[in-house]
Amino acid sequence: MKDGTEMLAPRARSAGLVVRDLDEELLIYDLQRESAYALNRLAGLVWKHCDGTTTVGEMPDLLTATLGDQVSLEMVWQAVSRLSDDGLLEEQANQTAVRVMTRRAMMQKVALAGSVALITSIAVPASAALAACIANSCRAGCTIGVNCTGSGPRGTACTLCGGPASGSCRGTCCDIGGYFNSVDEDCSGGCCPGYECKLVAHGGHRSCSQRAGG
Amino acid sequence: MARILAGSWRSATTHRVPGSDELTNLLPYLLASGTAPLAWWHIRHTPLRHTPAAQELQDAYRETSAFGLAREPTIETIFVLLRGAGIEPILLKGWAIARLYPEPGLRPLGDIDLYVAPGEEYRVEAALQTPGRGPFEVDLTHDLSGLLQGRSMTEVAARSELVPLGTSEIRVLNAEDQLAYLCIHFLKHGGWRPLWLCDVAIALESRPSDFDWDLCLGGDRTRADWIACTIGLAHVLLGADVRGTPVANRAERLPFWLVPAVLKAWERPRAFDHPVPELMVESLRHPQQWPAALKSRWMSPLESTVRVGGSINRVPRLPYQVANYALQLAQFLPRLVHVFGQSSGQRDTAPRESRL
Repeated sequence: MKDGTEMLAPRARSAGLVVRDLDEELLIYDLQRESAYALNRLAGLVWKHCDGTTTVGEMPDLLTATLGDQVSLEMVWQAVSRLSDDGLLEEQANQTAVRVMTRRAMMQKVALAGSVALITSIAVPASAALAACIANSCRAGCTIGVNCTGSGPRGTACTLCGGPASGSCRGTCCDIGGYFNSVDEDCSGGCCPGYECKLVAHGGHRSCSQRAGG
Repeated sequence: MARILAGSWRSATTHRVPGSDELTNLLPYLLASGTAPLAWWHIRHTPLRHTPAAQELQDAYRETSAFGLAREPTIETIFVLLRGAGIEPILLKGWAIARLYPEPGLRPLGDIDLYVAPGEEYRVEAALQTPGRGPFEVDLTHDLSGLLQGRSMTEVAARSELVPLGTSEIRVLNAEDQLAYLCIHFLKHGGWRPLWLCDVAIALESRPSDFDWDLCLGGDRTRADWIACTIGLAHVLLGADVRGTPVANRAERLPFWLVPAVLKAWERPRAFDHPVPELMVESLRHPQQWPAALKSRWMSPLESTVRVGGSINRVPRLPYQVANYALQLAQFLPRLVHVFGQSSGQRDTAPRESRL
């Protein structure tokens, strides 16, 4: 399968990414796309070797030495292809790849590799409230409270206050906006519709108060 | 729940792992209580990892890790903005605790809890309303006296610590105040969230070699015993290592009612199982809400004990629960007179501590 494509030296994207080594995976959060990916060991190592210098053709031997298991060129291509699709490689390298080998040819190689290099997309909640809502409700397939309902299989977006991102689950009520919208000691649990969390003029406490005209 | 979480915060498995059926049965509770990542950590190197329930736990672990990773730059940004405004906050709970775990992603993050000096709330609000930034899910606390009783906040702030996060340094409580804070916070909320006890366990086991127990326990005997009992709960329920600590003996002699009370609270480990009730003055306007409103003010033995400043001893808890109820009533009645004495357009703005 020597066609010159193994001379490609992709470069991992560095800007706008937050990266952390987990116990068995590499976790990458893309600040621009607000999406996250869990790379298994092989995919993570391929990404780390994408330094703009190491060629795809060199990677199998390097990875075989690191992992102790035989890594083929097809496995590396599978990882590179997926990393490119997920925007984790520099665009320049992606364009080079397209120039060197057609997309179709790449996919033929990927198909040979099976599913060894795994990259799992992770839904990252936009807020802590939504994270809690997903954890408490959608993941478990049950329902939260009166104003904040969510149900369905794991990963289903919660419906908050009748529309996504229009509010945040707080206990059984829906907390609607504001910068300081959840205060453990005061408005914990959030304020029901028609009420808002307000600073009290004296004493610095916050409390749910009826909105003007509400 | 306690069995699967026992020792789960450690790098290596040190406690018995559950059976497959047990794990499946526990799955909803683990997911709902925010302890699924820890459960995954506990079983990840066992044959259980290949079960469907374990895959759910691993997904939760990934999601929690990703959310934490996404949240860290936000914490940095908040500190940069506030420092730019001349405000030095202290980060409480959340990432301040998550950083102690083998991986920060094992501990879910919620709101960003900050302590700021009294009177700075408005300045914080202004500083964070920077165009193009936020909104931030910030939870401001200006009074830790309930959790750090008998301590000067000036002293607490002075001995707080800076820890690195990204390219910034984040201010957190020192190890002694942190452990005390976690213990009292757990008790004050009736101990319904198992994760909070895991926090106590990790804070205990990750304490520095020069940990000052006198500083942690403080001079108030009742409060010191609250801390000792909470650590005892972490020991009995989760296997926290208390060897070589001054609370080891107390940890082995907990009152008969304490462990069952916490386990009962753990039957409802979700935040929405514990909503803050509507203000009583609001409930009074709707007679059909009265029974539920009155019932919601009857607190657990543990919560009642702490709220009335009682001792955690072998005395039955009913008197404490009655006393706590009466205390709330005593706080409410003057407010009721005050509220109904005002014009009808004004609302009660009582803090949570007096919501009856």
